[in-house]
Amino acid sequence: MRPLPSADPVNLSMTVENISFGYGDQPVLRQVNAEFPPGQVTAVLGPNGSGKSTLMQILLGFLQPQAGVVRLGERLLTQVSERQRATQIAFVPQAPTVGFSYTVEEIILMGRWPRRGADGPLHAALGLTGADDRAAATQAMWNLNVHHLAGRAFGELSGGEQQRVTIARAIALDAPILLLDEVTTSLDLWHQLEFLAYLAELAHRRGRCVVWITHDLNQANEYADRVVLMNDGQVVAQDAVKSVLVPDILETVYRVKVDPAGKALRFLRKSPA
Amino acid sequence: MIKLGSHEHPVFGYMVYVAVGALLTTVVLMLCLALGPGLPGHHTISVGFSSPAIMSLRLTRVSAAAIVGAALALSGVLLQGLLRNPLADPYVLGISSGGAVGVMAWIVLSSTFGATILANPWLAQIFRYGQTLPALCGSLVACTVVYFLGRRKGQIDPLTLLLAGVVLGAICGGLIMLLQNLVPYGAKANLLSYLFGYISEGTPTLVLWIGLAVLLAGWVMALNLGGALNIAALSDVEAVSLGVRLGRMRVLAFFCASFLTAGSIALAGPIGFVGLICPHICRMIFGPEHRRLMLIAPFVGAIFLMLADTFVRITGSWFGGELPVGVVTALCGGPFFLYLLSRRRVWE
Repeated sequence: MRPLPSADPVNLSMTVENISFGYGDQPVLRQVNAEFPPGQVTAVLGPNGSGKSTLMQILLGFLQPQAGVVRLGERLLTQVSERQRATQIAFVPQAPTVGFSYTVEEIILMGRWPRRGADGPLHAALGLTGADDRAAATQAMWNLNVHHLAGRAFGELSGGEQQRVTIARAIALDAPILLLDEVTTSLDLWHQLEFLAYLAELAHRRGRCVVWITHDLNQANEYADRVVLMNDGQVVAQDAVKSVLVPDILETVYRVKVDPAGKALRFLRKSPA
Repeated sequence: MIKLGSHEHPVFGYMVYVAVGALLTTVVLMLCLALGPGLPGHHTISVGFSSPAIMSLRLTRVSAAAIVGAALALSGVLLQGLLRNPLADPYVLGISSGGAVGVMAWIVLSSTFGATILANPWLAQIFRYGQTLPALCGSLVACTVVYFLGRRKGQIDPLTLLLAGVVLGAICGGLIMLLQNLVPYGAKANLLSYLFGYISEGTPTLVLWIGLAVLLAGWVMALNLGGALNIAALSDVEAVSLGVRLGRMRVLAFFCASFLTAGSIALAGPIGFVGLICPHICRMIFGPEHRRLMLIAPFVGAIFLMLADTFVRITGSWFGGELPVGVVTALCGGPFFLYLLSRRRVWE
């Protein structure tokens, strides 16, 4: 993957204040307060059904909280227009779905849709991509190592390749906030580590606010700066990684025994030649 | 996949598609104008441009076919995109059955109260346009009902919409059979040909112009929705995260497709297959990008229906009367579609 220029750090955070959400009378999130600061990778951890994905769908404006507010920087998310919100927040879903046989390049250009129409009125009317959009898409394809797939149909790719294409779509938008929902599950080890290192770089060198849902505690320990630990619709703990991922807290939340002396299997990135 | 025009200049690329489509459509239009029976329903077939009276009749009919074909193909592109379902066609939402119920009710009414209606100058004026108005009213009522049934939490839900359309179609089928029993024997032949679609030389010029206006308005609106429809092929969450206002887009796409279908039903009755296969053929050749499809498919639909209707006009004397054009689109279009299907997986 290409190194990033260290220029233009952006400082945009997201916060949720006292949000509650439920389906019918089944509460999913209860009085959740959390902060996602810029320049850091915040891992959202928790057992199945703890409300992680629901929280993410509220962050990106797909679900509306029944109580409480979501802030994008200083502004309320509800007061930001759809298009503005879409240019600020990029999202990568857990399992990408695409109807019809779009090519990889077309899929990645869809990531530039919020910035469409920059090249003139006819482009704006038809919602067409311009030169900048194609340059960003090409860059993102190189970064995610999918440039060689550009002309292929998305549906013909393997699960891991599809996931990389979907990540590239979000990266192409170059938004200050990046929301990722268990995106490394079908990546091979090399691509997992490359991508996580890239994420850390995006946050640390370019000031991106990265929110990353994962079940891999070892990887969270390695690559995240902060952790928001959820259980049963509530935030149990949020702080720096080292102070949250401790046996006491993990044992209560995950109902497992944590052996502090035991070493997890560790994989390290090869230093670039 | 064929791509015309340069990748660097998408607007220019789209203009190339329109130019090629318009040129081919014009060529086919001239060809269809030059072919046909010496007189409507007559045995001899004349080739070339004959008397102005006959040319004017042919022009009416060929342009009606072009408008209906283009509207159906465009409607098919919109509905397949909206429902994310390659099986969708303009009739899957029960719109045609609604139109048929309208026409059926009109036939029952006019055969029962014919004298009363003709005595009233207002009603007589409305009934001058024959089946056009009842078909339009029936289609619009059907699509409104489907719209209100096809919503969940105040927004159109593709699956609910599809189910509502299919069920409304079945209910209308029952109503049609019920009303059919009330139709006097003499009007039944008329009815049967309507149910398969029929393009007439007698289409009033005003109706043609209105049909053309509906088509052009629908075309502009569809092109404006094309980019959002591309993104709506992703999951709802992804589409919303990219800033697509799904609710608004779906309402616009639904009504745009419905008006196009209702207009074509008013002009020619329910003609099957055009709206299903034209978008498919274009997608196989040119890829799934909706704006490109919307620019090409209407030309393909127009060409297909003009050719099918010309076949109907020419063969009128062989079958002891003209076939409904829907029979030709089904018998030619269907097998051709199956052939394409066997060669390539269209579901992707």
